[in-house]
Amino acid sequence: MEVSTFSDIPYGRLMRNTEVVLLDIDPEHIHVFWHLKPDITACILRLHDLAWMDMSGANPHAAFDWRITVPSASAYLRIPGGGRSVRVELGLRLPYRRLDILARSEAVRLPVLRGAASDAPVLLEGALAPLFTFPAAAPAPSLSVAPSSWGLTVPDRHLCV
Amino acid sequence: MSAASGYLSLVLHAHLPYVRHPEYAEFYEERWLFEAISETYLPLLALFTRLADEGVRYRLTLSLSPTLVAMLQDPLLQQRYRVHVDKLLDLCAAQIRTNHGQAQVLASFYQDFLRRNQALFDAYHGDIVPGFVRLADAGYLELITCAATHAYLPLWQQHPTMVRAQIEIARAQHVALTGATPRGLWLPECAYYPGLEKPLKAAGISYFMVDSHALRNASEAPRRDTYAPLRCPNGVAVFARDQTCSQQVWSAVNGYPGDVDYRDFYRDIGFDLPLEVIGPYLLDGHTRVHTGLKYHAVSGKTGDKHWYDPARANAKAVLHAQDFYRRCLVRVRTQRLDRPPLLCAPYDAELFGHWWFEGPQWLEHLIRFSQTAHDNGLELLTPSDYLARHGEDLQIAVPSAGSWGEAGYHQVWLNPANDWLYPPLFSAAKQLQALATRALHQPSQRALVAQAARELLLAQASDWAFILKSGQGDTYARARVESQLQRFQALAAQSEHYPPAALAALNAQTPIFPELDYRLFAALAD
Repeated sequence: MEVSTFSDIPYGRLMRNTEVVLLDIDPEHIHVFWHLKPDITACILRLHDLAWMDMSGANPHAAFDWRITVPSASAYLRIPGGGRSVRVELGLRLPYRRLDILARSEAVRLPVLRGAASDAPVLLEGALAPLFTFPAAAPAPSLSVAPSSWGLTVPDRHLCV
Repeated sequence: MSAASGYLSLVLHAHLPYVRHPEYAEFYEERWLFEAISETYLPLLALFTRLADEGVRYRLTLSLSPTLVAMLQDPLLQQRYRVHVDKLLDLCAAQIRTNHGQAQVLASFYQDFLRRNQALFDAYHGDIVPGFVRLADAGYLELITCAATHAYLPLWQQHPTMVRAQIEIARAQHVALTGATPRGLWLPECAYYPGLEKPLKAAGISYFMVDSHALRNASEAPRRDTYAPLRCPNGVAVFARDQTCSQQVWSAVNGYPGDVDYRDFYRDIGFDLPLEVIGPYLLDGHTRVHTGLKYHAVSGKTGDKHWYDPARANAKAVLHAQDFYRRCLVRVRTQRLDRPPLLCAPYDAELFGHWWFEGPQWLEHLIRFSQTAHDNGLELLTPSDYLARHGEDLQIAVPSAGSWGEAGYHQVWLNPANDWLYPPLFSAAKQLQALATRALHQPSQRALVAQAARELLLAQASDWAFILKSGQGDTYARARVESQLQRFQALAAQSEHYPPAALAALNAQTPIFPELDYRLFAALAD
């Protein structure tokens, strides 16, 4: 019955440099987590939609920015449409919407969503301030329901303990 | 003689996370294994052996996860299982002494059940894995493997060395067990991402299973829907879980296990009896747990339960097996394909016996009904059998990402309840790669790197993320991940001067994968 207690692991210390990781959850949702070097307290999280572009991210089709500040370290984003290829970057803002890139994630291709309409990415969770969207015609990002309200239960794994 | 109208491929996936705590005399979570041995693994072994002895020809696929195999073959856990059963037999004897009527009858029923289990366990000298291997050698079972520690592979795709290691370690254990490379590999949680077929192919794997939507959303629409596998461009075959077969067994609303006559899982004397009666049979004397002695039938949705009647429940299992068989037959006979349609029906093995007590009986009757396959019936076969007959002209396409979890993708294993796992796990994976690459030129480091790899592998089990999401037992899941990572960090931080005695102690605590090759974790040459 006895379970040992364990002190919290200083996760931040494990990541020495500024890093950002992007994971796909389903056709329309991604999870992003990052670590900032101690001397950085705020920067820009930029999401590139790489649809129909080469995967280097050099010529992105569209980009969406959020300002992130410590201590936030992760966010969930909804990317309507499904089947899109995305990549995120962390960077310091420069004039003319350019970024001084601190870290770049792997490019990730989301599964195809059958019969979905296209829309703009939406921040779902995380204390981020939406800045602006591109292209301008797209609806502005807005806070939406957090993934925790998706009602996730797993009937398939009956041997839950 | 007529040919079969269609095929039914039953696939059972047997898995539990690695739980072994020699540092404690008794440990609650070790009971997961003991309950599954008593209620699932031994009853299935007895069933498969009995059918073979009777000359019933059947083919069924059984996935044995590497962590489960390691635990089933562990002498300490075998000894602890014996103690566990002895204690339950004492409880049965006390219940027979102090009860009368149906409670006494049921206590006797469980006493017989446990004694039969005990006899079979003893017949195999505590290691029942060779029993399954023997049935595979005799042509009844096809044994396949799983990822080494049941990592949720799509979330590891940015760490290809870890994915490769999960597959290669599992393959190596299977080879040591059976003498041959497994034909199939059960993807943990049926979770797939495009590209996963490459390390599978490199490991010599011929097929794997996905959920139906992953096949239907493939790069090309499957011409035979899920009634036939696809082949990835690199040649590895993909079988899809049949939704209807799953629903008939799994559904909480319409599934067979919810029938009123079946044994109720949740009513257990561990919770029903006063503490002064049940206390001596509990681990600490007061924390109530499932004992496995359950006296009531599902009955209905109220708390007013009927006594469990094993004979009545068995009769219902016959009817349900008949119903399942007939429904499958109707479905395959109404398909118009260029070959007999295939229904691939994968289930967690622990459903059969543990959660659904009559599951093994249902399975036995289903297998017996399949003996009519020669008369336009339904033929049981394994994915390998299917590929041997129809593997030449499969449609080629890449499945879509997906899993068999709720909503069909990765939500269960990546959500706000468990996302904290991934930053430290990924960071440790990078550290391990650096350590392993360095150890290529530092022989003195290799044992330490192998142990560090064990610690990280054990932290990767999809079970922890699942439990954290479910909220049941999450304290243990969290403690396990944190303790494995702490050990990993201690090894990594002191890699040059880690005390050999301390390293040996860690290894003694987790003696899994004794032949683990540290080189698997070094940077990929390609």
